[in-house]
Amino acid sequence: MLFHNPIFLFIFLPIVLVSYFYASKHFKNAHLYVLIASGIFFYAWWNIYLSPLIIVSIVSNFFFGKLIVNAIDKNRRKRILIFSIFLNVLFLAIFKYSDFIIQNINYIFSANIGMLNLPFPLAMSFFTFQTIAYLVDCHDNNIKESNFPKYSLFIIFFPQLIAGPIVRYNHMVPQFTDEKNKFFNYQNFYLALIVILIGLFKKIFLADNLSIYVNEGFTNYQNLEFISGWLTSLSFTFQIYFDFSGYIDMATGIALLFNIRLPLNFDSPYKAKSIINFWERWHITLAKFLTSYIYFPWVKSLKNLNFLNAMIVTFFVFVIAGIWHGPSWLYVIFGSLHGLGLVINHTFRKLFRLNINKFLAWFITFNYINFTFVFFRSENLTNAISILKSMIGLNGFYIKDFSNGDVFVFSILIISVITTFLFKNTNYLIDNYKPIKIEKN
Amino acid sequence: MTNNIEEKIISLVSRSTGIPEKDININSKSNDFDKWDSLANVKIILEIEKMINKRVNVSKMGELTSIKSILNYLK
Repeated sequence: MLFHNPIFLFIFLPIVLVSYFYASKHFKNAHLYVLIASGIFFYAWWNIYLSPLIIVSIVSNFFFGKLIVNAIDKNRRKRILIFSIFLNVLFLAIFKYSDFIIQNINYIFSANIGMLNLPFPLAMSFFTFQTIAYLVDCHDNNIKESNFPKYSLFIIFFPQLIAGPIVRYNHMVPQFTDEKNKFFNYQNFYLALIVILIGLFKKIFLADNLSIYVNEGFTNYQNLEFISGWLTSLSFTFQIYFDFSGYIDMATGIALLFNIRLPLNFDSPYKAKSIINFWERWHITLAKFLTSYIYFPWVKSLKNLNFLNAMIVTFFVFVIAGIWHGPSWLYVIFGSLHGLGLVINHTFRKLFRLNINKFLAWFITFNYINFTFVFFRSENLTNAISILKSMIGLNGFYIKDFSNGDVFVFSILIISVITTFLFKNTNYLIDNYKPIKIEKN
Repeated sequence: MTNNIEEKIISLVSRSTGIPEKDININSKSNDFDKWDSLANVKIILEIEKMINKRVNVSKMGELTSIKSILNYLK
Protein backbone atom coordinates (compact mmCIF):
# COMPACT_ATOMS: atom_id res chain seq x y z
CA MET A 1 0.00 0.00 0.00
CA LEU A 2 1.73 3.15 -1.22
CA PHE A 3 0.91 6.63 0.07
CA HIS A 4 -0.66 7.78 -3.19
CA ASN A 5 -2.93 4.74 -3.32
CA PRO A 6 -6.58 5.86 -2.83
CA ILE A 7 -7.15 3.00 -0.35
CA PHE A 8 -4.35 4.43 1.79
CA LEU A 9 -5.39 8.06 1.45
CA PHE A 10 -9.14 7.76 1.77
CA ILE A 11 -9.67 4.67 3.92
CA PHE A 12 -6.58 3.56 5.87
CA LEU A 13 -5.23 6.99 6.86
CA PRO A 14 -8.54 8.54 8.05
CA ILE A 15 -9.36 5.40 10.09
CA VAL A 16 -5.92 5.40 11.75
CA LEU A 17 -6.08 9.14 12.39
CA VAL A 18 -9.50 9.03 14.04
CA SER A 19 -8.53 5.92 16.07
CA TYR A 20 -5.26 7.57 17.14
CA PHE A 21 -6.82 10.72 18.55
CA TYR A 22 -9.80 8.85 20.02
CA ALA A 23 -7.48 6.37 21.75
CA SER A 24 -5.12 9.06 23.02
CA LYS A 25 -8.05 10.95 24.53
CA HIS A 26 -9.63 8.00 26.29
CA PHE A 27 -6.92 5.47 27.12
CA LYS A 28 -3.39 5.96 28.40
CA ASN A 29 -0.76 4.93 25.82
CA ALA A 30 -3.42 3.36 23.59
CA HIS A 31 -2.36 5.73 20.77
CA LEU A 32 0.98 3.89 20.64
CA TYR A 33 -0.81 0.58 20.10
CA VAL A 34 -2.98 2.13 17.39
CA LEU A 35 0.18 3.18 15.51
CA ILE A 36 1.86 -0.22 16.07
CA ALA A 37 -1.22 -2.13 14.84
CA SER A 38 -1.57 0.18 11.82
CA GLY A 39 2.15 -0.28 11.05
CA ILE A 40 1.78 -4.06 11.07
CA PHE A 41 -1.36 -3.85 8.92
CA PHE A 42 0.36 -1.43 6.50
CA TYR A 43 3.34 -3.79 6.18
CA ALA A 44 1.20 -6.94 5.89
CA TRP A 45 -0.84 -5.33 3.10
CA TRP A 46 2.24 -5.70 0.87
CA ASN A 47 2.74 -9.42 1.65
CA ILE A 48 1.04 -11.04 4.59
CA TYR A 49 3.27 -14.14 4.45
CA LEU A 50 6.48 -12.12 4.75
CA SER A 51 5.23 -9.75 7.43
CA PRO A 52 6.30 -12.08 10.29
CA LEU A 53 9.89 -11.31 9.26
CA ILE A 54 9.72 -7.71 10.49
CA ILE A 55 8.07 -8.93 13.70
CA VAL A 56 10.88 -11.47 14.23
CA SER A 57 13.39 -8.67 13.59
CA ILE A 58 11.67 -6.38 16.13
CA VAL A 59 11.42 -9.06 18.84
CA SER A 60 14.98 -10.35 18.42
CA ASN A 61 16.59 -6.90 18.23
CA PHE A 62 14.67 -5.64 21.24
CA PHE A 63 16.01 -8.70 23.07
CA PHE A 64 19.58 -7.95 21.86
CA GLY A 65 19.19 -4.34 22.95
CA LYS A 66 18.18 -5.47 26.44
CA LEU A 67 21.11 -7.90 26.58
CA ILE A 68 23.52 -5.09 25.64
CA VAL A 69 22.07 -2.65 28.17
CA ASN A 70 22.07 -5.23 30.98
CA ALA A 71 25.58 -6.54 30.32
CA ILE A 72 27.87 -5.18 33.03
CA ASP A 73 31.13 -6.33 31.48
CA LYS A 74 32.31 -3.92 28.73
CA ASN A 75 33.73 -6.65 26.53
CA ARG A 76 30.56 -8.69 26.76
CA ARG A 77 28.53 -5.62 25.72
CA LYS A 78 30.77 -5.17 22.71
CA ARG A 79 30.58 -8.85 21.77
CA ILE A 80 26.78 -8.84 21.88
CA LEU A 81 26.71 -5.63 19.84
CA ILE A 82 29.01 -7.05 17.16
CA PHE A 83 27.08 -10.35 17.05
CA SER A 84 23.70 -8.61 16.76
CA ILE A 85 24.92 -6.24 14.02
CA PHE A 86 26.43 -9.23 12.19
CA LEU A 87 23.08 -11.08 12.33
CA ASN A 88 21.20 -8.06 10.98
CA VAL A 89 23.64 -7.56 8.12
CA LEU A 90 23.60 -11.31 7.41
CA PHE A 91 19.79 -11.36 7.12
CA LEU A 92 19.89 -8.34 4.82
CA ALA A 93 22.59 -10.03 2.73
CA ILE A 94 20.67 -13.32 2.51
CA PHE A 95 17.41 -11.74 1.36
CA LYS A 96 18.82 -8.96 -0.78
CA TYR A 97 22.11 -10.18 -2.18
CA SER A 98 22.17 -14.02 -2.20
CA ASP A 99 21.19 -14.35 -5.89
CA PHE A 100 23.62 -11.57 -6.83
CA ILE A 101 26.44 -13.38 -5.01
CA ILE A 102 25.46 -16.72 -6.64
CA GLN A 103 25.38 -15.09 -10.10
CA ASN A 104 28.90 -13.74 -9.60
CA ILE A 105 30.23 -17.06 -8.26
CA ASN A 106 28.68 -18.83 -11.27
CA TYR A 107 30.30 -16.31 -13.63
CA ILE A 108 33.76 -16.34 -12.06
CA PHE A 109 34.06 -20.09 -11.47
CA SER A 110 31.86 -21.21 -14.39
CA ALA A 111 29.68 -22.92 -11.79
CA ASN A 112 26.00 -23.67 -12.06
CA ILE A 113 24.56 -22.97 -8.63
CA GLY A 114 20.79 -22.49 -8.73
CA MET A 115 19.26 -19.16 -7.74
CA LEU A 116 17.40 -18.99 -4.43
CA ASN A 117 14.84 -16.49 -5.77
CA LEU A 118 14.07 -15.26 -2.27
CA PRO A 119 11.53 -12.46 -2.07
CA PHE A 120 12.98 -9.23 -0.72
CA PRO A 121 11.14 -8.09 2.39
CA LEU A 122 9.84 -4.57 1.96
CA ALA A 123 11.82 -1.83 3.76
CA MET A 124 14.46 -4.26 5.02
CA SER A 125 17.36 -1.99 3.98
CA PHE A 126 15.86 0.88 5.97
CA PHE A 127 14.86 -0.95 9.13
CA THR A 128 18.21 -2.80 9.21
CA PHE A 129 20.09 0.53 9.37
CA GLN A 130 17.67 1.90 11.95
CA THR A 131 18.10 -1.24 14.04
CA ILE A 132 21.91 -1.02 13.87
CA ALA A 133 21.76 2.61 15.04
CA TYR A 134 19.50 1.53 17.95
CA LEU A 135 21.86 -1.29 18.99
CA VAL A 136 24.83 1.10 18.93
CA ASP A 137 22.80 3.57 21.00
CA CYS A 138 22.09 0.77 23.52
CA HIS A 139 25.82 0.02 23.66
CA ASP A 140 26.69 3.69 24.17
CA ASN A 141 24.10 4.14 26.96
CA ASN A 142 22.11 6.65 24.93
CA ILE A 143 18.79 4.88 25.44
CA LYS A 144 17.37 6.15 28.68
CA GLU A 145 14.04 4.48 28.54
CA SER A 146 13.01 1.61 26.31
CA ASN A 147 10.18 -0.87 26.39
CA PHE A 148 8.80 -3.23 23.81
CA PRO A 149 5.88 -1.08 22.54
CA LYS A 150 8.09 1.99 22.14
CA TYR A 151 10.82 0.07 20.34
CA SER A 152 8.25 -1.67 18.11
CA LEU A 153 6.73 1.65 17.13
CA PHE A 154 10.17 3.13 16.44
CA ILE A 155 10.71 0.41 13.81
CA ILE A 156 7.20 0.03 12.41
CA PHE A 157 5.95 3.65 12.38
CA PHE A 158 4.26 3.44 8.98
CA PRO A 159 4.91 6.97 7.57
CA GLN A 160 8.67 6.36 7.37
CA LEU A 161 8.69 2.54 7.28
CA ILE A 162 9.23 1.80 3.60
CA ALA A 163 11.27 4.68 2.20
CA GLY A 164 12.79 6.44 5.16
CA PRO A 165 14.02 8.84 6.34
CA ILE A 166 16.30 6.71 8.52
CA VAL A 167 15.47 7.87 12.04
CA ARG A 168 17.14 7.58 15.45
CA TYR A 169 15.39 6.20 18.53
CA ASN A 170 16.00 9.32 20.61
CA HIS A 171 14.56 11.53 17.89
CA MET A 172 11.32 9.57 17.55
CA VAL A 173 10.33 8.01 20.87
CA PRO A 174 10.19 11.23 22.93
CA GLN A 175 7.79 12.56 20.27
CA PHE A 176 5.60 9.44 20.50
CA THR A 177 5.26 9.86 24.25
CA ASP A 178 5.02 13.67 24.40
CA GLU A 179 1.68 14.58 26.00
CA LYS A 180 1.26 17.57 23.65
CA ASN A 181 1.41 15.29 20.61
CA LYS A 182 -1.57 13.23 21.75
CA PHE A 183 -4.03 15.95 20.87
CA PHE A 184 -5.28 17.03 17.49
CA ASN A 185 -3.38 20.09 16.30
CA TYR A 186 -5.12 22.18 13.65
CA GLN A 187 -1.95 24.01 12.63
CA ASN A 188 -0.06 20.74 12.08
CA PHE A 189 -3.07 19.28 10.30
CA TYR A 190 -3.31 22.08 7.71
CA LEU A 191 0.44 22.16 7.23
CA ALA A 192 0.50 18.37 6.85
CA LEU A 193 -2.18 18.51 4.16
CA ILE A 194 -0.16 21.10 2.21
CA VAL A 195 3.01 18.99 2.49
CA ILE A 196 1.15 15.82 1.43
CA LEU A 197 -0.31 17.66 -1.58
CA ILE A 198 3.17 18.89 -2.57
CA GLY A 199 4.40 15.30 -2.28
CA LEU A 200 1.51 14.00 -4.39
CA PHE A 201 2.20 16.68 -7.03
CA LYS A 202 5.88 15.73 -7.17
CA LYS A 203 5.15 12.01 -7.30
CA ILE A 204 2.04 11.76 -9.48
CA PHE A 205 2.30 14.77 -11.77
CA LEU A 206 6.05 15.15 -12.19
CA ALA A 207 7.76 11.81 -11.44
CA ASP A 208 5.12 9.50 -12.90
CA ASN A 209 4.81 11.51 -16.13
CA LEU A 210 8.58 11.73 -16.55
CA SER A 211 8.83 7.99 -15.95
CA ILE A 212 6.89 7.28 -19.16
CA TYR A 213 9.55 9.03 -21.23
CA VAL A 214 12.35 7.59 -19.12
CA ASN A 215 11.10 4.02 -19.54
CA GLU A 216 10.79 4.49 -23.29
CA GLY A 217 14.27 6.01 -23.55
CA PHE A 218 16.04 3.42 -21.42
CA THR A 219 14.23 0.55 -23.22
CA ASN A 220 14.92 1.82 -26.75
CA TYR A 221 18.37 3.17 -25.94
CA GLN A 222 19.71 2.19 -29.38
CA ASN A 223 17.47 4.81 -30.99
CA LEU A 224 18.61 7.73 -28.85
CA GLU A 225 20.56 10.56 -30.44
CA PHE A 226 22.00 13.71 -28.84
CA ILE A 227 18.80 15.52 -27.86
CA SER A 228 16.70 12.49 -26.93
CA GLY A 229 19.71 11.10 -25.01
CA TRP A 230 19.89 14.26 -22.91
CA LEU A 231 16.11 14.43 -22.50
CA THR A 232 16.07 10.81 -21.30
CA SER A 233 18.89 11.23 -18.78
CA LEU A 234 17.62 14.60 -17.49
CA SER A 235 14.09 13.21 -17.23
CA PHE A 236 15.39 10.39 -15.03
CA THR A 237 17.47 12.74 -12.89
CA PHE A 238 14.34 14.77 -12.16
CA GLN A 239 12.10 11.69 -11.96
CA ILE A 240 14.17 10.04 -9.22
CA TYR A 241 14.34 13.28 -7.25
CA PHE A 242 10.60 13.93 -7.40
CA ASP A 243 9.80 10.28 -6.82
CA PHE A 244 11.95 10.00 -3.72
CA SER A 245 11.56 13.52 -2.31
CA GLY A 246 7.82 13.47 -3.14
CA TYR A 247 7.46 10.27 -1.18
CA ILE A 248 9.47 11.74 1.70
CA ASP A 249 7.23 14.84 1.61
CA MET A 250 4.18 12.60 1.89
CA ALA A 251 5.86 10.70 4.76
CA THR A 252 6.68 14.00 6.48
CA GLY A 253 3.12 15.26 6.04
CA ILE A 254 1.53 12.00 7.21
CA ALA A 255 3.78 11.91 10.30
CA LEU A 256 2.85 15.54 10.98
CA LEU A 257 -0.84 14.57 11.08
CA PHE A 258 0.14 12.63 14.22
CA ASN A 259 2.20 15.66 15.41
CA ILE A 260 5.48 13.85 14.68
CA ARG A 261 8.34 15.72 12.95
CA LEU A 262 10.56 13.54 10.74
CA PRO A 263 14.14 14.63 10.13
CA LEU A 264 15.09 16.50 6.97
CA ASN A 265 16.08 14.13 4.15
CA PHE A 266 16.30 16.39 1.07
CA ASP A 267 17.52 19.97 1.11
CA SER A 268 17.25 21.09 -2.52
CA PRO A 269 20.07 18.71 -3.57
CA TYR A 270 20.18 19.82 -7.22
CA LYS A 271 21.19 23.31 -6.08
CA ALA A 272 24.44 21.81 -4.74
CA LYS A 273 27.66 23.45 -5.90
CA SER A 274 29.92 20.47 -5.24
CA ILE A 275 29.62 16.70 -4.74
CA ILE A 276 30.44 17.16 -1.04
CA ASN A 277 27.59 19.68 -0.86
CA PHE A 278 25.30 17.31 -2.81
CA TRP A 279 25.69 14.61 -0.14
CA GLU A 280 24.90 17.19 2.54
CA ARG A 281 21.57 17.70 0.76
CA TRP A 282 20.58 14.34 -0.85
CA HIS A 283 19.19 11.48 1.28
CA ILE A 284 20.67 13.26 4.30
CA THR A 285 19.74 10.59 6.84
CA LEU A 286 21.51 7.87 4.80
CA ALA A 287 24.62 10.05 4.41
CA LYS A 288 24.61 10.77 8.16
CA PHE A 289 24.25 7.07 8.94
CA LEU A 290 27.15 6.14 6.65
CA THR A 291 29.34 8.92 8.08
CA SER A 292 28.55 8.20 11.73
CA TYR A 293 28.47 4.41 11.74
CA ILE A 294 30.94 3.44 9.00
CA TYR A 295 33.20 6.35 7.99
CA PHE A 296 34.11 7.77 11.43
CA PRO A 297 34.84 4.43 13.17
CA TRP A 298 36.75 3.21 10.09
CA VAL A 299 38.93 6.33 9.70
CA LYS A 300 39.47 6.53 13.47
CA SER A 301 40.69 2.95 13.54
CA LEU A 302 43.44 3.69 10.99
CA LYS A 303 46.94 3.53 12.43
CA ASN A 304 48.08 6.18 10.01
CA LEU A 305 45.45 8.89 9.80
CA ASN A 306 46.24 10.94 6.73
CA PHE A 307 44.45 12.47 3.79
CA LEU A 308 45.13 9.59 1.39
CA ASN A 309 43.82 6.93 3.78
CA ALA A 310 40.74 9.01 4.57
CA MET A 311 40.03 9.35 0.84
CA ILE A 312 40.36 5.58 0.33
CA VAL A 313 37.82 5.04 3.13
CA THR A 314 35.53 7.71 1.62
CA PHE A 315 35.61 5.89 -1.71
CA PHE A 316 34.75 2.51 -0.18
CA VAL A 317 32.01 3.94 2.04
CA PHE A 318 30.33 5.13 -1.16
CA VAL A 319 30.82 1.75 -2.81
CA ILE A 320 28.84 0.39 0.18
CA ALA A 321 26.26 3.17 -0.31
CA GLY A 322 25.94 2.08 -3.95
CA ILE A 323 25.40 -1.61 -3.21
CA TRP A 324 22.94 -0.68 -0.43
CA HIS A 325 20.62 0.60 -3.16
CA GLY A 326 20.35 -2.85 -4.72
CA PRO A 327 22.07 -6.05 -5.84
CA SER A 328 23.61 -4.86 -9.10
CA TRP A 329 27.05 -3.88 -10.38
CA LEU A 330 25.47 -0.74 -11.82
CA TYR A 331 24.69 0.43 -8.28
CA VAL A 332 28.31 -0.34 -7.39
CA ILE A 333 29.40 1.84 -10.33
CA PHE A 334 26.99 4.57 -9.20
CA GLY A 335 28.40 4.48 -5.66
CA SER A 336 31.99 4.34 -6.94
CA LEU A 337 31.45 7.36 -9.18
CA HIS A 338 30.11 9.34 -6.23
CA GLY A 339 33.03 8.13 -4.09
CA LEU A 340 35.42 9.21 -6.84
CA GLY A 341 33.62 12.56 -7.18
CA LEU A 342 34.03 13.15 -3.44
CA VAL A 343 37.73 12.22 -3.54
CA ILE A 344 38.32 14.63 -6.44
CA ASN A 345 36.30 17.33 -4.65
CA HIS A 346 38.27 16.91 -1.40
CA THR A 347 41.59 16.83 -3.28
CA PHE A 348 40.79 20.05 -5.12
CA ARG A 349 39.82 21.73 -1.85
CA LYS A 350 43.07 20.63 -0.24
CA LEU A 351 45.52 21.29 -3.06
CA PHE A 352 44.06 24.17 -5.01
CA ARG A 353 42.35 27.15 -3.55
CA LEU A 354 40.34 27.77 -6.66
CA ASN A 355 37.56 30.25 -6.47
CA ILE A 356 35.28 28.73 -9.06
CA ASN A 357 32.37 30.75 -10.34
CA LYS A 358 29.22 29.60 -8.46
CA PHE A 359 27.26 28.92 -11.64
CA LEU A 360 30.12 26.92 -13.13
CA ALA A 361 30.47 24.93 -9.88
CA TRP A 362 26.75 24.17 -9.94
CA PHE A 363 26.85 23.29 -13.66
CA ILE A 364 29.72 20.81 -13.22
CA THR A 365 28.09 19.25 -10.12
CA PHE A 366 24.65 18.89 -11.68
CA ASN A 367 25.99 17.33 -14.87
CA TYR A 368 28.19 14.92 -12.94
CA ILE A 369 25.15 13.81 -10.91
CA ASN A 370 23.12 13.49 -14.11
CA PHE A 371 25.90 11.33 -15.61
CA THR A 372 25.99 9.01 -12.55
CA PHE A 373 22.21 8.55 -12.59
CA VAL A 374 22.47 7.00 -16.08
CA PHE A 375 24.19 4.04 -14.39
CA PHE A 376 21.64 4.03 -11.58
CA ARG A 377 18.70 3.62 -13.98
CA SER A 378 20.20 1.47 -16.74
CA GLU A 379 19.39 -2.24 -17.04
CA ASN A 380 22.97 -3.12 -17.95
CA LEU A 381 26.32 -1.57 -18.81
CA THR A 382 25.69 -1.68 -22.58
CA ASN A 383 22.51 0.31 -22.06
CA ALA A 384 24.33 2.91 -19.90
CA ILE A 385 27.26 3.30 -22.30
CA SER A 386 24.94 3.65 -25.29
CA ILE A 387 22.99 6.47 -23.57
CA LEU A 388 26.23 8.23 -22.59
CA LYS A 389 27.44 7.91 -26.21
CA SER A 390 24.25 9.52 -27.46
CA MET A 391 24.72 12.34 -24.93
CA ILE A 392 28.15 13.20 -26.31
CA GLY A 393 26.86 13.08 -29.86
CA LEU A 394 28.34 9.77 -30.98
CA ASN A 395 24.88 8.54 -32.08
CA GLY A 396 24.11 11.61 -34.16
CA PHE A 397 22.85 15.14 -33.62
CA TYR A 398 19.72 15.17 -35.75
CA ILE A 399 16.60 16.72 -34.32
CA LYS A 400 13.72 14.36 -34.73
CA ASP A 401 10.15 15.51 -35.28
CA PHE A 402 8.65 16.31 -31.94
CA SER A 403 5.45 14.41 -31.33
CA ASN A 404 2.75 15.56 -28.91
CA GLY A 405 4.18 13.16 -26.36
CA ASP A 406 7.62 14.78 -26.62
CA VAL A 407 6.16 18.26 -26.20
CA PHE A 408 4.28 17.05 -23.11
CA VAL A 409 7.44 15.57 -21.57
CA PHE A 410 9.39 18.69 -22.45
CA SER A 411 6.74 20.79 -20.66
CA ILE A 412 6.92 18.52 -17.58
CA LEU A 413 10.70 18.86 -17.65
CA ILE A 414 10.42 22.66 -17.69
CA ILE A 415 7.97 22.56 -14.74
CA SER A 416 10.44 20.23 -12.99
CA VAL A 417 13.29 22.69 -13.52
CA ILE A 418 11.17 25.58 -12.22
CA THR A 419 9.99 23.56 -9.18
CA THR A 420 13.53 22.44 -8.38
CA PHE A 421 15.43 25.67 -8.82
CA LEU A 422 13.00 28.51 -8.18
CA PHE A 423 11.10 27.24 -5.15
CA LYS A 424 12.15 26.71 -1.56
CA ASN A 425 11.88 23.13 -0.30
CA THR A 426 9.15 21.61 1.87
CA ASN A 427 11.24 21.77 5.01
CA TYR A 428 11.52 25.54 4.65
CA LEU A 429 7.73 25.67 4.41
CA ILE A 430 7.33 23.64 7.63
CA ASP A 431 9.90 25.68 9.54
CA ASN A 432 8.49 29.02 8.45
CA TYR A 433 4.78 28.25 8.42
CA LYS A 434 2.73 30.94 10.11
CA PRO A 435 -1.02 30.45 10.14
CA ILE A 436 -3.02 33.39 8.85
CA LYS A 437 -4.95 35.03 11.63
CA ILE A 438 -8.41 36.14 10.57
CA GLU A 439 -9.27 39.37 12.31
CA LYS A 440 -12.85 39.79 13.38
CA ASN A 441 -14.38 43.14 12.61
CA MET B 1 34.56 29.22 33.09
CA THR B 2 32.27 28.58 30.09
CA ASN B 3 34.26 31.11 28.07
CA ASN B 4 37.41 29.23 28.94
CA ILE B 5 35.99 25.95 27.62
CA GLU B 6 34.62 27.77 24.60
CA GLU B 7 38.06 29.19 23.84
CA LYS B 8 39.62 25.76 24.23
CA ILE B 9 37.09 24.24 21.82
CA ILE B 10 37.60 27.01 19.27
CA SER B 11 41.35 26.51 19.51
CA LEU B 12 40.92 22.72 19.16
CA VAL B 13 38.71 23.11 16.08
CA SER B 14 41.15 25.63 14.62
CA ARG B 15 44.10 23.22 15.10
CA SER B 16 42.18 20.29 13.58
CA THR B 17 40.75 22.13 10.60
CA GLY B 18 43.31 24.80 9.80
CA ILE B 19 40.65 27.51 10.06
CA PRO B 20 42.01 30.67 11.80
CA GLU B 21 40.64 31.04 15.34
CA LYS B 22 39.36 34.53 14.56
CA ASP B 23 36.97 33.05 11.98
CA ILE B 24 35.37 30.63 14.47
CA ASN B 25 32.74 31.59 17.03
CA ILE B 26 30.15 29.92 19.25
CA ASN B 27 27.70 29.63 16.34
CA SER B 28 30.17 28.09 13.88
CA LYS B 29 29.34 24.72 12.37
CA SER B 30 30.98 22.38 9.87
CA ASN B 31 28.75 23.46 6.96
CA ASP B 32 30.10 27.02 7.28
CA PHE B 33 33.63 26.04 6.24
CA ASP B 34 35.06 23.99 3.39
CA LYS B 35 37.98 23.07 5.65
CA TRP B 36 35.74 21.58 8.36
CA ASP B 37 35.10 18.40 6.38
CA SER B 38 34.67 14.77 7.45
CA LEU B 39 38.43 14.19 7.82
CA ALA B 40 38.78 17.33 9.96
CA ASN B 41 35.89 16.02 12.03
CA VAL B 42 37.80 12.81 12.76
CA LYS B 43 40.76 14.95 13.86
CA ILE B 44 38.43 16.96 16.13
CA ILE B 45 37.11 13.73 17.66
CA LEU B 46 40.66 12.49 18.31
CA GLU B 47 41.58 15.84 19.93
CA ILE B 48 38.47 15.69 22.13
CA GLU B 49 39.40 12.14 23.17
CA LYS B 50 42.88 13.39 24.14
CA MET B 51 41.33 16.28 26.08
CA ILE B 52 38.84 14.19 28.08
CA ASN B 53 41.04 11.10 28.20
CA LYS B 54 38.11 8.96 27.11
CA ARG B 55 36.85 7.53 23.82
CA VAL B 56 34.00 9.30 22.07
CA ASN B 57 31.15 6.86 21.47
CA VAL B 58 30.33 5.96 17.86
CA SER B 59 26.76 7.22 18.25
CA LYS B 60 28.02 10.67 19.27
CA MET B 61 30.68 11.11 16.57
CA GLY B 62 28.26 12.31 13.91
CA GLU B 63 26.81 14.92 16.25
CA LEU B 64 30.05 16.81 16.91
CA THR B 65 29.76 19.10 13.93
CA SER B 66 29.42 22.50 15.58
CA ILE B 67 31.01 24.44 18.43
CA LYS B 68 27.72 24.29 20.37
CA SER B 69 27.33 20.52 19.95
CA ILE B 70 30.93 19.96 21.11
CA LEU B 71 30.29 22.19 24.13
CA ASN B 72 27.10 20.29 24.92
CA TYR B 73 28.93 16.99 24.62
CA LEU B 74 31.63 18.14 27.05
CA LYS B 75 29.11 19.40 29.64
